[in-house]
Amino acid sequence: MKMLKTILKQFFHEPVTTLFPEEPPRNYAGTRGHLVFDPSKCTSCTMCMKRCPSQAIIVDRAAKTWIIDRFRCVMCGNCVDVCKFDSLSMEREYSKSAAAAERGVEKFDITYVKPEKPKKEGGE
Amino acid sequence: MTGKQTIIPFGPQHPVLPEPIHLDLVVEDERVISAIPSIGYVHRGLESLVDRREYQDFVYLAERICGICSFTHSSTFCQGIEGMMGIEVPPRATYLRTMWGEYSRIHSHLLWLGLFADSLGFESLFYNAWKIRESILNELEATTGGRVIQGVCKVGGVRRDVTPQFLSEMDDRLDGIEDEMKELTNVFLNDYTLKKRLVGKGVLSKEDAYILGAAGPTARGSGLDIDIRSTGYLAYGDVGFKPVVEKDGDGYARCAVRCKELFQSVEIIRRVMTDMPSGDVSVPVKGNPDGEYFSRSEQPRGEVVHYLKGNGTKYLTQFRVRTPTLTNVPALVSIIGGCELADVPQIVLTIDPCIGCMER
Amino acid sequence: MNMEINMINVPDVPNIGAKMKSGGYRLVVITCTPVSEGYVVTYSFDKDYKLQHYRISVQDGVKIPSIGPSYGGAFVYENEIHDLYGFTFEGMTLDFKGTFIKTSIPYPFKKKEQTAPTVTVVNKEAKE
Repeated sequence: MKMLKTILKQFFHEPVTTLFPEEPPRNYAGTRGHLVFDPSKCTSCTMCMKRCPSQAIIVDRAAKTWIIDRFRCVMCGNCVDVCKFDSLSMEREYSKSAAAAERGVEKFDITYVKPEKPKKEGGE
Repeated sequence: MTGKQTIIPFGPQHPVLPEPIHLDLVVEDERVISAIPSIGYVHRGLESLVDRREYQDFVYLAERICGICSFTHSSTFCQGIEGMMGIEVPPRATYLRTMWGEYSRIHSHLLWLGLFADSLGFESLFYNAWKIRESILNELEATTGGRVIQGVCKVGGVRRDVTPQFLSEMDDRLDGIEDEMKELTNVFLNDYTLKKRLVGKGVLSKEDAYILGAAGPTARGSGLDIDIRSTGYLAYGDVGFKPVVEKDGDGYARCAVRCKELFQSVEIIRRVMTDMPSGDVSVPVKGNPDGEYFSRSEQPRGEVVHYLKGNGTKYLTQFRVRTPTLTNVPALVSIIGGCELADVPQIVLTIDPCIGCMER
Repeated sequence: MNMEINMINVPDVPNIGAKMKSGGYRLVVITCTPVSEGYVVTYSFDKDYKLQHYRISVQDGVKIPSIGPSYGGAFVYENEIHDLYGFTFEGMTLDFKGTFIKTSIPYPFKKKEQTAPTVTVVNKEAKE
């Protein structure tokens, strides 16, 4: 009789697995899916490069580039915590699978322009 | 009549082994006389990386020592740094750490139950165990942001808070999970086939378990009352805790300990949720660790010891992890001696070997 | 957490092992740590969740007597220290002779003449 309950359940419940390639994988509001970089806010302070546990980020101050190796990145979110300029954020969607040649190393040109200091008025 | 002694290599690649360990089994007829383990297939040298990463960033690396008990590794590491620096962690953070620690214990035990069923060829039971594990992983992902590598601990507290509304919803979902687990463990504890493969197989006596230094369910299955949670670290002192102990010392006892710990963990999570204090979840950390510290906590597989040594800079000088699997290996070697060759895969699995963890 | 460490001499190690065993302690861990002069090896024992530590100070090439006769489970730690730091233990219950952890570099955790750099420099050309 115990079996009967289990057998009947088979006919009525929804499948527990997801149809992954057709359906996007489940995620939640707090999921650390992939890292997003905003080149217009980065001041090249290199904090993210220094504190990355897997050393996935290279910031070149002279060339004004921000380079991430997506295959080294472990989605810990440490760089998001240490960034003081809101230039980095974690998005909840998982990135699609890819080969290293397609989307291994991503390079961004930093477009941040240092705002000019407001001139002091009547200081002379 | 006895035959000549033969040596049969077991592993590193074997259908029941999720991770590589090699055993040389000295066999006489069908009986195993002794076993010689050898490891080193997945040695990464993670411990030596500690002097090249800042101690606050090393939490993420400490978490990656193991892919299953990851949360306990990070919380033990943080506990060690906090002990060394004398940081008071806010009570809400310790409660949250306890909750996630117990969730990871449930998912680890369900993983083991599934793998064990798979090693017997009982595949539908394997799928059932992992189906329940999936709902635990969903809870973990929704609260911490990661499925198995949570990345939520930091020195001085935790990185995320959980809203009271989410906690009450989680409480309701736990009821469903508990019902499913009851059905599942009923099979593990009462099924004829499983009992035939477990009862009386691989018996570890209480004295041997103590002297060989067995830890976790392996020790508790032999009647030893060793559980670091009894010392009342994190919130275990507040919620009250009594270890699950079985007396027989065979494979069935170890399986029963894990089955019963599932419900014990659910019970702890419930109590943590109701008693959850309000307040901050982290305190700012200033300065660098100096001195040395032995930090201990209870992983799903047993007692883990993190030894930390700092010298007043932001890089620690020494980090050593004693994982429960390493200390269960002598126990494994002693219980394999004298068993049937056909039982070896199941006996190896009953200590819940986690080799990545063991070699770091 | 008890952090008091009793310093002992190298030849006393087996006696301490026997004493702790008769006192009802279990072996928790053997830790090897490089210090400014040589290394220290710490033996930690546990009874009723209280840790008791004993420490010996050793130089390169010193032979350490094993506590294997008292604690059968000590061979994993002793072989590990042998394979990672290069110390020889005398009288281990199960001696792997350096094959317990097989590493491509012999004795990887041994003190280097040159200390490791604090940041691993990732080759820039290799990344692009």
